[in-house]
Amino acid sequence: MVDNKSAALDAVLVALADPTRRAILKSLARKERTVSEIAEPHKMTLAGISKHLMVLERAKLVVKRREGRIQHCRLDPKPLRSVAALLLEYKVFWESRFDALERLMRETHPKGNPDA
Amino acid sequence: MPKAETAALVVKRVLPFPAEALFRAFSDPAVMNRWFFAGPGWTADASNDFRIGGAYAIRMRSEKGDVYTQQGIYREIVPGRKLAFTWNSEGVKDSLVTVTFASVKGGTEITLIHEFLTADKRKSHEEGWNGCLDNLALAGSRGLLP
Repeated sequence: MVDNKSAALDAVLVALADPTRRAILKSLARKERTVSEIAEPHKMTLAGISKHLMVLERAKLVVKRREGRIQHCRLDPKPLRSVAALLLEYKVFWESRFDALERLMRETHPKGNPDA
Repeated sequence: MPKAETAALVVKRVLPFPAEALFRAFSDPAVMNRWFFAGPGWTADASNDFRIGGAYAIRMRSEKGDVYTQQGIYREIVPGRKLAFTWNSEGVKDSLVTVTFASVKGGTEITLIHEFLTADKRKSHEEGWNGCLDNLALAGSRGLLP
């Protein structure tokens, strides 16, 4: 579904829009960590970190696994591909539109106007 | 808003033409139809209500006849200088495109910024999410959670 895809993409964009969440993702890129390990470098309560983790989980960037009373978090980088693909797709789209605009302008304004 | 906070794409191009003519290429459907489509072999059918709050739609048709529609609302119009409009397409909802036209030596520099996480969208997301958390807290306080 287009809307689900769009909602999933929005969830990833929102997740990436916060510096604490970006730092959490970076720390998880190296290895799986427990919630308290993730919280440690941040001057934040466990509840505050949990909120950020929920946003990351909702974007499917973080997957939790429970071992007894301990929760382990790991990074799933797959959703990041959708953002990279989107930016690349639109980069190509706009660059090629500018090429087409330039061609059209050269046809319709053969002398151009360098002093504009 | 700091740039690092948004997922945005910036495309710049200096063209040896006056800003007014380039602005017109972005705003006059008759001109838009001649370049605003997805690639060679495609055609475009643009229509717009060119005022702030007015809508536009560009139907792009591929060589095979598949039609893709981009549409949105004009947010800002400064004739010959700046244009901002929302951008909705397959897979992208409520993104924002801002195009500025600056006179430089040799012509006009066009800067196009396409923001995929706009302030509006972020706000609605955060409200939605905070709503979820509030409901969760409420459910917890009423003993509804395990």
